[in-house]
Amino acid sequence: MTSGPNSQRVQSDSALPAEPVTQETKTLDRESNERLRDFAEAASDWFWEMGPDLRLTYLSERIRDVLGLGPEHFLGKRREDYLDGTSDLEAFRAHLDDLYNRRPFRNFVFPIEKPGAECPLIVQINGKPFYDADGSFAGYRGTGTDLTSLVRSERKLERTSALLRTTLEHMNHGISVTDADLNLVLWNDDFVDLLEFPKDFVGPHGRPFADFIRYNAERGEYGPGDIEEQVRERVELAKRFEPHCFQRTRPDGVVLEIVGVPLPAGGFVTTYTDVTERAQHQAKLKEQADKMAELVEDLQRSNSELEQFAYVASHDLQEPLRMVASYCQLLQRRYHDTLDQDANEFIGFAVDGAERMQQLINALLSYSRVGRSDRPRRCVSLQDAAEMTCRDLQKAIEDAGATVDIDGLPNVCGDGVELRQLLQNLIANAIKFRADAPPEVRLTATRDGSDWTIAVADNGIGIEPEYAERIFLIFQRLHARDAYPGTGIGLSVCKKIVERHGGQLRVESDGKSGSTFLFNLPASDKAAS
Amino acid sequence: MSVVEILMVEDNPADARLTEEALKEGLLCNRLHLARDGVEAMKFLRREEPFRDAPRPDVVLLDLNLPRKDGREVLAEIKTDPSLKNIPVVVLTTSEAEQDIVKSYALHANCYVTKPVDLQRFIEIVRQIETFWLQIVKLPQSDAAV
Repeated sequence: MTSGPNSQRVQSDSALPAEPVTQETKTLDRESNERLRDFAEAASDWFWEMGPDLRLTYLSERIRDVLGLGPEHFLGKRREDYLDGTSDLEAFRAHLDDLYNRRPFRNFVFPIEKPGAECPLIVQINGKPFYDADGSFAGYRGTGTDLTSLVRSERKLERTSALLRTTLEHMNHGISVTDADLNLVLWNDDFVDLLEFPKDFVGPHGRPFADFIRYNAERGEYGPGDIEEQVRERVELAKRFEPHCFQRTRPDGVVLEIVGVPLPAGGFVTTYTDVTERAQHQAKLKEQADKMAELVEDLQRSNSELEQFAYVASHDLQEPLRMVASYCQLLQRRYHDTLDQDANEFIGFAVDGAERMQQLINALLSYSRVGRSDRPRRCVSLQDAAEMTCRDLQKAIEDAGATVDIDGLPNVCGDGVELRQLLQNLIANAIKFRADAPPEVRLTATRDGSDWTIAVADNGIGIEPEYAERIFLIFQRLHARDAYPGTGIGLSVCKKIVERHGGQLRVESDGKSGSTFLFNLPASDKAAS
Repeated sequence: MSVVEILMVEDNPADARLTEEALKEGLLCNRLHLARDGVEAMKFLRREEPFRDAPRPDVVLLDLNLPRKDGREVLAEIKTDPSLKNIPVVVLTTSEAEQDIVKSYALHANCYVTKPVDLQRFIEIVRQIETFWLQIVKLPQSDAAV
């Protein structure tokens, strides 16, 4: 605001001490006063004046809008009458010191209560002393400004930026933000540390991205070549502002994962994460997986070699065995009448032993043959398979006076030949290991998720629970051969068949009233072929 | 009745002798010729030295596992040779393995017989072979030399 030598005093609604004036100057004064009052009322700031006793003599009406209190509330009061200065005692004292020593002051900021407002307003005042024509101190004139919203925004900004700073420094990642011109504008200490730039390299206000590239190029990070060319290439690449993610291994072995995300207005926000542990962990996992795969391969090879061995061994054992048995029998056939009773008996034992050995070999052969076929898996009707099995076993069933009840068996997915062998072994066992009563065998099925559980229950001699595991081992027998003949291979074959179909075979028995063999097989909802 | 000429391809002399003994108990008057491996068998069949004067066999009893040229190869050669393919071939082996069965049939074996351990059953089988292949089945005479 400009003020001429004649317009130092403001006439307003509130009565200011008037001086005696001439008619001429009166007119001039009135015009000038009106102009000044218009300015004062239009301004967003307010104007004040105090007398030589530092009591307020004038306050523009604007104060009423700002504080909700009119000038009348303050006129005649000193600063210390309406301010206690408790928010900043030192600043208040300095201000009073200025006033009493008649020094001009600027930017005295203080809080002041506004009736009905939650928080005090923050106001700022400026003032200068003025003097009479004779040079004696006449008081102060000055302005006031409401800084509340400005101060609040500033504080909010400070809080936000403090929060941002704290967040950046505590995020355990390096972070950098470049603007559209590829200048680094925001970063944290981890960025500097992880990328091993010197502490003061970035400077307080950031640095062009190209400088960092050049620094890296100079320390040989991009290999041999023209440094400016390397910088140019990388800056050009960065200017495409495409998202990127890559890993970099520092010379000391620390692995960094660098992820750059372009910002909508250009520039990047890039994070730098120390993934050394993760990389080591992954390397270790891969190593373990490789080792595991190798072991599995070894195991598969050794398994198939073992099966091959069992097959070849049992096959090749047949030939000499047949010679032993056949020539013994030929001896018996041709020379029966010329040999004595002992000789004939010895030959009988030899033939019997050879026959039993052949059974064992055949059993082994059939065991090793499970799963060797390349027949494709198909949908198999267990009902049909069980009925067919009963026809095959008809003689044994009739001889034992047995009944076999087959109750709506489902279709399953598998190898029909093997599944028929499975049912045949189980049904034959159920009849063979009979108690005194005529054997009753019952085949039932229950659906269990995507599997069927098939039960083959009998009323036979049962199995003591302690032997429930052993009966599935190859050549394991629980009974003397003359009580229940057999090689002890049947259930091993059953177990192998079920397991090759992805199921499990087990037995439930209390050792007295029969046994129930249970196995599960994957269901097939297709029609059996 | 003329003599039935039988070629047995078998490397195990004990096995060969057993078959010979079984044939002795057979019904037919037969003459057994023995080839100890596949190469010898093919020479016999093609009347190459030292089998220049060999008769054309009425039936071949073939073991699958043979030295030099094995039974599968012999079978394949017989069945692809127009002058030999009409000779019935009975595959005699100890192996019950499906693979052998399947392969032999794929090569057009006329019959596949597993040699049983039991002598009596073996004798019966040899007899059945005689009866079936030499008496019942009437085969076309493709070789005028017989």
